[in-house]
Amino acid sequence: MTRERELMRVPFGPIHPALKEPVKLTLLVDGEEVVDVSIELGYVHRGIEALAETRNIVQVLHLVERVCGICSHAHPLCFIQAIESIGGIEPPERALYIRSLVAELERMQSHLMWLGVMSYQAGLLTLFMYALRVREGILDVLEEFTGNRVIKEVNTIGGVRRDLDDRIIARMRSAVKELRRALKLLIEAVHDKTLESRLEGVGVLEHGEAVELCAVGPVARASGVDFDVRRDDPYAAYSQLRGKFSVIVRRGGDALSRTEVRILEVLESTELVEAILDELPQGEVRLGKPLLRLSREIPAGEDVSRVEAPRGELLYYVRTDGREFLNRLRIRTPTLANFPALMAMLRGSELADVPIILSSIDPCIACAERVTLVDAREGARRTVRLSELRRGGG
Amino acid sequence: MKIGVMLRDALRRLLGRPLTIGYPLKPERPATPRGYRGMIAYDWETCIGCMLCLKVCPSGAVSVADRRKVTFDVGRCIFCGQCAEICPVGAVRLTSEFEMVAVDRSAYRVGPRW
Repeated sequence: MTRERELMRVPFGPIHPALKEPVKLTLLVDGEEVVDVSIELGYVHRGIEALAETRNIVQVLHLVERVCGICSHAHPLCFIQAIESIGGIEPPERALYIRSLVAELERMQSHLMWLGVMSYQAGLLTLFMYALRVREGILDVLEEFTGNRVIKEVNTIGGVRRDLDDRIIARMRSAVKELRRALKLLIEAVHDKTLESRLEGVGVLEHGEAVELCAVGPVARASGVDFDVRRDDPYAAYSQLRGKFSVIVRRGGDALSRTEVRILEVLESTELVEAILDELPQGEVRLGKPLLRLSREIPAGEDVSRVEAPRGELLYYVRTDGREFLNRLRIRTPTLANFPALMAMLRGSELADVPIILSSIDPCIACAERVTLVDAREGARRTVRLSELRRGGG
Repeated sequence: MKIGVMLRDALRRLLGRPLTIGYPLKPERPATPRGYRGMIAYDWETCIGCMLCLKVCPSGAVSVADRRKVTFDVGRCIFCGQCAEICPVGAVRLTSEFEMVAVDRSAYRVGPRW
């Protein structure tokens, strides 16, 4: 006797043990297999873009710092680049190096944090402890240099707010050396047979899908998309550092490949930090002009800026009104760009793999809560041209 | 992962000094880094009343007080340190004080005392 199998709708979230932040997935399952999925956002919407339109440029700089706690350097860096390009401001060389330096330290701590969360989802609490212990060393030097563990507040118009001295450079060098030693243990733990077989073949994103759905960052690179903003559209000091790092690409497209890409990127970042500290040019770290005069001199204009945040390509669209205020600010975070890819990964997967797949894209829900142009239900994303933004931006 | 590597690490952690500190049960306070952004200190006698801090504060924590002085509401402050950076006479400073719990909101008002 056969019974007709029914499709079931399984709600996943907004509050779920596997989720660190509220997002609602509705999974359509056939037995154990996920047939379809829809994502519902909006539980942690904070209205940052609208708030930015009521503040002046200096105030917005501190506001965008707080879009995300983990990538709190990438956001203001991206914003300040757009502002500096509108105003034709060129920060000193040393400031650009310091921006790159903090960005790399941030990438390390973000990837290590992710590795911890990922292994926690896979049921390997030991690796979670290892990863977070290693991450602490990086946070310590960040705190020593910037004054805070997460909200770093390093960027300012026309440079950075703090300068490196010999003591901090020495501490950074020893922290990076320590990290490289500790990474050996982590890499060995990741290539443990048990963990490997848990991650292998889970949440596969084919190369074609990754290109078509515009996946970004480590998710795209794990599916064979050889793209990194740092190399392909260099900002800060990355054009001078071009030969000092390689872009990690894997072809597997599964959770294991994404893990490999991230952990090897930490290794690349250690190389980069050492290269930056070796080549650090002398001189000023910010322009001599007062900050408010700089912000007053920024004319009306618009610009799009891109940064390779730890999670992938981060995009800012900024339009100034020439009177110290912003007409429009649009933030596209990497997590938002990766949602269509996430849906492609979830389709056809097993229900028990959903937490691992979800955490394998390193989601930052609070960052992704913007006014959305993504048609998540169909997995399609419209590419928005500047002229369209101009028309729809006001 | 080899069991020997794991055991060695576990033993080292078991016998070694803990990574955490005993705060707040132990009397010693954790060291804050140089340039830590903590509680606001306001020197109202030096303040010239230019109101630049009012202009740059992202969270609206600065308000105008009598006789062209300002009051800081630390409860609203996000500790970006922009007021201290913009102040032309150095009347605002972010100290290394981080124990800021209070039961009374008036403890969060840092302003002129006549």
